[in-house]
Amino acid sequence: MRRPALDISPAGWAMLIAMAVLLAVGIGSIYVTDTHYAAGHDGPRNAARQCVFVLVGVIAAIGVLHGGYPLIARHAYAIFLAGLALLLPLTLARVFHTAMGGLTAPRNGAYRWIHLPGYQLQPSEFMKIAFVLALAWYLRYRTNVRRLRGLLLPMGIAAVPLGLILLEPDLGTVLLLTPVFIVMVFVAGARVRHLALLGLVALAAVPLAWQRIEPYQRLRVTAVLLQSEKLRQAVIADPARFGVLATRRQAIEWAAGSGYQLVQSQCAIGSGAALGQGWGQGVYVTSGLLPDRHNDFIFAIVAHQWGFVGCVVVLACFSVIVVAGLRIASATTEPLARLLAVGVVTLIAAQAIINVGMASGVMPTTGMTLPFVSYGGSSLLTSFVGVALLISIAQHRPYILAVRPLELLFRPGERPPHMAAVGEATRAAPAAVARS
Amino acid sequence: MFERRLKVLLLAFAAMLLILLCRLIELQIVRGDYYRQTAERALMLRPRPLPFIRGSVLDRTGEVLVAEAPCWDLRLEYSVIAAEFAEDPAARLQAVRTWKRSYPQAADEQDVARLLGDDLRRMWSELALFATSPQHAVSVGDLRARAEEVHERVQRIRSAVAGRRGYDAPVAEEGTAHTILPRLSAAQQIAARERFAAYSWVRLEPASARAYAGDAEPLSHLLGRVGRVDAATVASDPDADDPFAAYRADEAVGVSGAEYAAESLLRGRRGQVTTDREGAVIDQIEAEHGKDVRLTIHAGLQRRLYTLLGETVAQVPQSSGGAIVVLDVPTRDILALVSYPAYDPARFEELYALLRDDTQRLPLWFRAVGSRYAPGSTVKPLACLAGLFSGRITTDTREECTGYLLPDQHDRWRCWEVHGTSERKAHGSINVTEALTGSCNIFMYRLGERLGVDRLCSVFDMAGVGRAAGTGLREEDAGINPTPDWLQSHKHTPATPAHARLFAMGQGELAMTPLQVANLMATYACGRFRPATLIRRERPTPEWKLPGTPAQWAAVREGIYGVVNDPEGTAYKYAHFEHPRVVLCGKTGSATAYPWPTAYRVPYRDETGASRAAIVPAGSLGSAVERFEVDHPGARYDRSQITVAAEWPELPPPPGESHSHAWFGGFLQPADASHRPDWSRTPRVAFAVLVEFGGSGGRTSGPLAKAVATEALAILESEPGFHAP
Repeated sequence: MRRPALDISPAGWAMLIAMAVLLAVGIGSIYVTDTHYAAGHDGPRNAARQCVFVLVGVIAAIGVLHGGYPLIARHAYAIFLAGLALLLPLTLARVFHTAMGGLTAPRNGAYRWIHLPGYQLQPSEFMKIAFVLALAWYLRYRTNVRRLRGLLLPMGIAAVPLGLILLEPDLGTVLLLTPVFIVMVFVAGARVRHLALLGLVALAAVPLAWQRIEPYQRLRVTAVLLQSEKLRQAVIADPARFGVLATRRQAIEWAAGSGYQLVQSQCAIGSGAALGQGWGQGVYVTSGLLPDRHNDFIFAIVAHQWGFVGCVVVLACFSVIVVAGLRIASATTEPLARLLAVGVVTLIAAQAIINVGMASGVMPTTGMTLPFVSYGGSSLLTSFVGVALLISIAQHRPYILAVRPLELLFRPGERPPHMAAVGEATRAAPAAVARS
Repeated sequence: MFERRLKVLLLAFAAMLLILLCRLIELQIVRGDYYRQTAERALMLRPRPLPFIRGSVLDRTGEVLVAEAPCWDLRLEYSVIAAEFAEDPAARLQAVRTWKRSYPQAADEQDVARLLGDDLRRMWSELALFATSPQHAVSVGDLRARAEEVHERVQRIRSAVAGRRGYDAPVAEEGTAHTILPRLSAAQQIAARERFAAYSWVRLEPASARAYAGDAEPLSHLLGRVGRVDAATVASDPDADDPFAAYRADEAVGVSGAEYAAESLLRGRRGQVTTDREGAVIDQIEAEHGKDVRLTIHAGLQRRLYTLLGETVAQVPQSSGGAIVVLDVPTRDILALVSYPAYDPARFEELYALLRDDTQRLPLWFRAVGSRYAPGSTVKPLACLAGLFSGRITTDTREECTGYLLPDQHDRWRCWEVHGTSERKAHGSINVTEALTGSCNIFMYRLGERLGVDRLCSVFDMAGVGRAAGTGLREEDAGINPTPDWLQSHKHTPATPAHARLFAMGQGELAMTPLQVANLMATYACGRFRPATLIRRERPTPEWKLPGTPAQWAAVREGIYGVVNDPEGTAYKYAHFEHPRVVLCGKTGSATAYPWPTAYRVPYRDETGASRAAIVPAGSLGSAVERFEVDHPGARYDRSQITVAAEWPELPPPPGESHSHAWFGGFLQPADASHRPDWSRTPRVAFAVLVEFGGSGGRTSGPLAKAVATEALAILESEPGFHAP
């Protein structure tokens, strides 16, 4: 049972409106940063390109709605393998340090892009959706995630793309997909104590990882602490003791060196104050003081122009998407749909939280776009497909089941609940229909 | 359960949202005013880089060889240079916007453009007058060429950076001033300051330039040069994202020699001074100056050996130059790395055209590490070691030398004695030790046949042939170890016994640099191989031990000892000397040398169609074509018609002989009371001497080697902490 493709449910409408607001804020900000580039730059091209990307995103979303999520989810593994196949050339290029005739030319030392004529494909972006699809497809009928051993196989599946992306290196995407994985196995029924155990193991691996990552990556993590003037003075005074944070020289150079982006981003946000400088106004719009301001740090430009009020609107839009997405997850009875919806919601929410956190200086800087707002085709397309999947789930009316899926997880020795409470479950089902 | 977990998830998201909101309230509401003021001030601030001082290069005793000396540079702001040379009218507009403030009286932008244009024209003519004055002696053409070069270089850097970043945007170099007249003295600086006071885009800034202490000519190749950063360096800069370390177009960077090899140490980190519009300093980050670098070189020894080598080369009319390398055996520290001829590095720029055109003596070549030669007989001990290691021969194996290898071909595969100066025509029945002492070719031919190319080359590899010598110098050549694979891929021929015969006596495709031959001598002396070191380090480079029993090594070393100390030895007449504590052990080598072209004849038709020919001095066909095209634009020529017009040496070899490079490699073995070598002790000093086209290794290089050995002993013994035995 499903609604017609474009007969969208109220939750879907809420999401679409939030999305439209975010897109408008994004294109408006990209446009003003475009026009204020110094002489000799490309000119206002990015905003126009972003509009084209939106169009492509809308077409892709309509395609997803027409096909419906079950059709796409059926091919989850194929999509996952295709995503891996796109990642592989980048990994090979990185390992053998070859640009493959410019096709995989690195930027700032990272092999993240496949350079096609007129467009730069970022496979790790598509991997985000493929990752959620494959994980949802794998977990949909499993009960063995209640056991530690049952968690190992999904972890193995997740480790392959994460490893490839880590090699590029694209630490940001890895830091994003890890919470997505944890949330998905959590709602699939994994025991909290098992997740806590895995968390402890991961915590134990932190010192090792700390040794392995590049010095500049380490500095990005400690940068969150180094924002404190007091701590920087401590590093300068006693570099031997605080050497783990930064070298003495790095502390001296902070505001113009490794902390420059953070300092400027915070100043851009802060100077927006309560009501903002106005659209197209303000120092950070008219000057090039803040690098990467049209993609990863666009939130700073939004905050600069529209102030605290604008920030609240943007965060409210994301909240609408999250709440509506979780309602859709709760309304459906299809286990696959539930997992898929939670995965997509986490994907979007985590990106937004990490991006805003990094721009405002409470989280380490990683290359992370703000969904629907930042400039970038691959990122936009991924977000569109994600929301389209959510709406598609809402289109499908829930099955009336004796037992609601993913609820039947019982303790060893207990009577399976669906043997005891058939009547209760059927009573619950009509309510779900009404809600959708 | 699912519902409950969704609620937990929602709560988690809400908590994080709350944290973000708190942060935003802190930034925007609580500290909003502070950030507003900071942002408004941000545009008024003028950050300017503070240059660092490049480190000095010292020799092993601490003597300063090259250091930075303060001077003044006359610089022009980039916007002014771009306005003059860019084809894009946007550059002029940019300059007008930048210098608008200098013309408060101007009514509008067009007015500013007119006034600025007048001022720029005046400035360029004043600058031309100033530069052509006898103190500077820079021609107007040169001056403009320099400015244009700055413009091109910055544009190249911009496109290189755009390629790396993925989008095109202005680079830092476009906001700074660039040197047009470097190295002004204090007095010149004051004169320039008065003269250009009216033009606010002319800057006179304190700078520094390389200055050489003492006689630098013997060290010129070794120290190398600094030059301006090129686009390739910027594009591949690992610190490109580091605003304090990234290469800037106006900076000096090591381009050759130790300046290049030790670049990462010599370079410091820039500082930054931030001023407001009035010039008051708001914030200052001091520069971190470069570190001093200590070489393993002994400058006194290097200078003395350069003189000695120069004297020897001057005595051999056909010789084009030579090299001497002295090594410390246990650590493989390079004590001297002499390449002759050289040049005065302080006058490099003015001498450059002369140096480049000297295709006979090639003074720009860093022969000691960068030129490869057939090593000749200096590898014979290594071939014998290969035979002994593999068991193909023993220390008792004897061969009969009749003067030639094949009974029916007396004029091919001969022993050198046949046409040599000695009265004897053959060595007779000899073992390994005697074969080395007499440098018998026949013994080596037979040894090569027994071993084959593969086994020989694997032992060559153990001794570093075909490997970079390890100094980190850009000029370093790895030489050629002609393994069967190499022969197949480079010469399209399988390895034959004839190859093996030639390689065993150091001829054929086998090629080594003087540094590698010196290192080979150190390997003979101690039985271990280790890459050479030029820049002093805490721990020596990793070494490996060659196989072989003490008896086998003793047999070979006795042979090397005999070369200089046995009356039958090839260098006894030329290099033998008595010393209370050491004996000189060594091996001569006369490696077949092929003359090199020094000029080409290019037949061509000029614009009128008349046939002409030009003689172009050049060392290779490629550079001849390049130079011809520069000198004769529009001329038509056929590349296949170009012939060699002259070559070096100009004189043909004596009848019955061929040209040969004269080698001598050796080490100073500690001696016991009876002047016999004490093989239980490891020597300190090993060396190699090469005289290009010097003829016989013993006759030409032998006396030089003797002088090198005595000088090295005398100079190094006076060195505290260096106990030459």
